[in-house]
Amino acid sequence: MAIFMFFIFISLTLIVTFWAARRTSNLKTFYAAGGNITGLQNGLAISGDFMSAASFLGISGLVFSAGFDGLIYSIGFLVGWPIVLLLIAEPLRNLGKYTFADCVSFRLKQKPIRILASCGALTTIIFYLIAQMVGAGKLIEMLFRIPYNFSVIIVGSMMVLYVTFGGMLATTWVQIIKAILLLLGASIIAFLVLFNFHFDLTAFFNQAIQLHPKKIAIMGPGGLITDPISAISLGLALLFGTAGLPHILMRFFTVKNAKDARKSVIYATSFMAYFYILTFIIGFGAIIFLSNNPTYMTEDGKLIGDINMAAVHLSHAVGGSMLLGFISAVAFATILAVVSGLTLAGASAISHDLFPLFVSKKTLDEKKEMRVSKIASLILGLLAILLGILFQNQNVAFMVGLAFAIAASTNFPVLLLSIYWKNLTSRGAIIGGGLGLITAILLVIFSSTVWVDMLHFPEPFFPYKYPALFSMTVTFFMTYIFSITDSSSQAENERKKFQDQKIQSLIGI
Amino acid sequence: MDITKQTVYRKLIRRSLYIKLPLLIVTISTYMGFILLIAYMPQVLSQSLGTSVISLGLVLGLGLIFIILFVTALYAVLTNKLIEPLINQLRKPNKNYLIKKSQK
Repeated sequence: MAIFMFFIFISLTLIVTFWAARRTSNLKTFYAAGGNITGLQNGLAISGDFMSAASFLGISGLVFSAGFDGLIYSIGFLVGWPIVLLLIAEPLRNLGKYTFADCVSFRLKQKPIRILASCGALTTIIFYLIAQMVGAGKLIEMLFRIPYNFSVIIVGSMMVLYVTFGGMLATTWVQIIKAILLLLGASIIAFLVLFNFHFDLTAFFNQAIQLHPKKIAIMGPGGLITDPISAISLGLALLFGTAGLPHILMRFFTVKNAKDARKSVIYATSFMAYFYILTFIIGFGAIIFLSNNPTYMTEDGKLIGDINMAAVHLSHAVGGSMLLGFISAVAFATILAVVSGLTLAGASAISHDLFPLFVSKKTLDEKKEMRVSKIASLILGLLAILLGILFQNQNVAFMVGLAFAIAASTNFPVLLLSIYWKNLTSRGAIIGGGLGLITAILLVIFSSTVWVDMLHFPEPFFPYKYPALFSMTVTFFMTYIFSITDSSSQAENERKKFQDQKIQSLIGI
Repeated sequence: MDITKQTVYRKLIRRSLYIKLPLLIVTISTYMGFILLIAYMPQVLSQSLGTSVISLGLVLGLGLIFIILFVTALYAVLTNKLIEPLINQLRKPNKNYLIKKSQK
């Protein structure tokens, strides 16, 4: 059954890709789906980017094993959205064309700023991509009993196929279809779970508390957060990281205008809030229906497969093999849709921001840029497969946390200050953003996860798990210092251009 | 005429600040408050409400999700009512000015 559903989905997405490929003849369609996506459609696509396998399976699995702690992550993924809405979405749409670097370089020096922005974008994307690839490989290995390496290769090849042939148009529609299917599937599971309790929430939680080995402790914070500084640091990364994720920012160029950009965030936030409440119910449902059931648990009380399989097992427990097949196919769809979006954002950073800087304007045309983008997605696909295999034992949630930390330390501050702070100069942005990026990466290397666990040194230099608190401080402080002390004529000119940029960011053209 | 000297433009800047700033403060302060509670006083969040099994943390967490939804919805309503008309008022008469500027 699962295999059947799976093939239906694959054929559906291939039809979409084929349809999109026939329409993708110019750059605007390739990078931005022609700018014709509506607010509702884009809202679905954006929420689809966040309703990844890592969050659907990961959060419901976390709730299954630790209860309340899962909610901390859900809230973290949601809270970035008011920030995107209030500070970024509308000005970004009014100032940029295809990538957020367009917006940052609006009044600053093209070459160094685009190099900085694409370094930030590519680093974020590679961390995020590794996390998704590892999650994907493990999931497909378990769902379809295919070896891990082979699963990663399948995912990598499929995503390259979608991106190179269908561009943003295919990537967006695959994401929309998957978002609808996932919302539907999760709603059915949650409905069936609560139906068994006649929608009595007190009875529902009571039952879960009695069956869980940690008893009442699952209703409060547990072992996820170890020390206060790491908690605050992760909190900041989640709060401001969303507004610096390149594959999310890129979606705002697929709509007509700033008004539709605003609408997309409002739809997206509503879908995600609903979805995260569902994952919470699904996690608690898994405690009730899977605990002590030998079909899903091994003899020593562990879930068969992994805690990430909680939602998948639960779909079988409440809906039989039909629902199991549906959920497995949707989970696979989720992975493909998310990695395709990431690959496209990475490829566009290379072909739209970096490539034009190194060739003469005369030889550059749309066809050439599109070809470079396709080659870039092929290379990124190969890189993702390789890294997915190399990092297969890394914790997925941790890697996602790092991607957010880097986005919050480089992309977000530079983008924010370029929109709102008149005195920002190229020098300030490059030194501040560059140092923030380097600080974030170094602190990750010196933290116990890499320095001790991977490189086997006895003591970590950096005692905390997440770098955002420190690296964000470095970025903002350094950008401030090196901007206000910049008295070059270039800087004067950049400050002068701020007024016009402000008008365009508010009103558009 | 210079767009920055028009009263509608000044009104737009002022209103947009008055709408965005309070909503930003609400979002950041409630979320960071929640994180600080988890970081420094996790036992407070584990407390049950009265005799039920529902904990304070669960109520606050779900409350935060509703605050996030409320902030986005309120922003949408206020912007449609108070900001969008001003933008439209500015866009038409200044169209040539805006296009000229953007081509520079």
